[in-house]
Amino acid sequence: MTGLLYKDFYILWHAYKKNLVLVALLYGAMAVAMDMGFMLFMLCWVMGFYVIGSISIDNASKWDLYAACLPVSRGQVVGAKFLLTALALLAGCVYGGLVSCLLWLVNGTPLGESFVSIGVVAAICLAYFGVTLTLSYQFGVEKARTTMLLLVAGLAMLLFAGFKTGLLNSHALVQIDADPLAWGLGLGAVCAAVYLICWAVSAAIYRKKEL
Amino acid sequence: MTNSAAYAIEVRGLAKHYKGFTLGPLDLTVPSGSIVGLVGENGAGKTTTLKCILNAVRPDAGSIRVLGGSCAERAVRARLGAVFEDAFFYESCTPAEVGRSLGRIQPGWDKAEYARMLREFELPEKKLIKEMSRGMRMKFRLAAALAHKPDLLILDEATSGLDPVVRGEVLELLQAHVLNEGHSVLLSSHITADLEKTADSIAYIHKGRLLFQMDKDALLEQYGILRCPAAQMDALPAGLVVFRRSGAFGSEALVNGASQVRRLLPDAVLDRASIDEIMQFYTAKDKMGGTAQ
Repeated sequence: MTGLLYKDFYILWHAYKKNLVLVALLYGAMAVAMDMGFMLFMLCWVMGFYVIGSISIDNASKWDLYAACLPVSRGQVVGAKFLLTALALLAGCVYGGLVSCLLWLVNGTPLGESFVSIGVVAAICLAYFGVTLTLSYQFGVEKARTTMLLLVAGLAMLLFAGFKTGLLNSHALVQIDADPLAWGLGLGAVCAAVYLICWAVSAAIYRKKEL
Repeated sequence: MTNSAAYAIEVRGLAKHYKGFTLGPLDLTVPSGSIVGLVGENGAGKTTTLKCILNAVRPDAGSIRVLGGSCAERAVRARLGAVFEDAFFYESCTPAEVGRSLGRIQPGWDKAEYARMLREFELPEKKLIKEMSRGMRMKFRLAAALAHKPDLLILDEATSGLDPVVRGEVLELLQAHVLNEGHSVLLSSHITADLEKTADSIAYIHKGRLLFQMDKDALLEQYGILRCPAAQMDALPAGLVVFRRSGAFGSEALVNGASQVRRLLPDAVLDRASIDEIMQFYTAKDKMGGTAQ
């Protein structure tokens, strides 16, 4: 499977290296200069989208048919993509961690708070991109992206309506503030479970696919 | 003969149904140590046949044996090389990067052999593949397909769009691959001149059906283009004339059984039929409903 990871790494590196460097510098500078803490985890988000972009690149070169002639199983082809997503998010977290240290040194922003927020966002990204990958294998990348945006927009509207109508109150949020680490770990476990389920479903979809 | 070792590929009763197109049922064999040319017009079913052989699509019926097993088995795929016209390692990489990646995928990857082929083809290791000429790209794909010394090479339209010099080089490489170590090649192409040069046998697919698979020399011996007055053609026994067409300068027909026709009409003009001509006559016959003579 390392050969598949190498292949995706080289493809993404050639496709996005300039964009990655620019985004990393820009987000880092914005985080430190303007004390914008949320910039710490933006790179996780961007890195996930790079991996999803690699499926479009695969489609353009009909990689799936090429891979069908190689001694790798279909499960490994999908597995490499999920592993790459996790590694990309991890790289995003490392970047966020480094910028957090910079923020702490320059602005005195508490490190623990930054690390927990990076972890929580990375976990959400893990689930988000797990579902996007699954939808991509089933319906194609474009439809998957649109579906995910609609799903997120729908969820946001439901939450907004819930708060507006009083069906949801801020009680739960207060609890999160009380024990952010426990909430973060719980959320991480749920997101990891979603990711693993998506991985299994995607592998099943891909095994049945005609290339 | 049904001995699997005798065949690198043995396809029996293959059928695949799509909306508006049905492939087969067809039988196709690639004897070990030979080059089989798969010909047919666009949309005839060549690529679908190859995809079925490679287990990229699931056939509705039939059996396929590749190197004594199935392409569903990784061990079999490890002994296989493939070059497609439009399915490839993404071309924003360099040959060196592709080598590093495929070297970790192909168990028998020979790094030195890959480097030797890149040198022989004058392919710079650090140049992006997309910046190479079409001929260079095709040679690169061949190098990537051959570096693990596959027992079976499958090529789909690998020579299309190449200039005659590069095509010649590619064909020489294929012949050397088969001659040196008894490897086998299945080469799908609609450039029949290439197949006339290289293939040991020709399989002709027309509208999803295999019209024939024959030894190339026997095929070119057996078919001929007959040019003579229509009355002489009419006098030939049924079954000899595959299809006849008439023009301003008389009639010509594709005949199956050239030696017999030569005996029956010693004064008529009977030329050797090229694979192109055989295909053209069969296609014309099909357009006329398969009954015209």
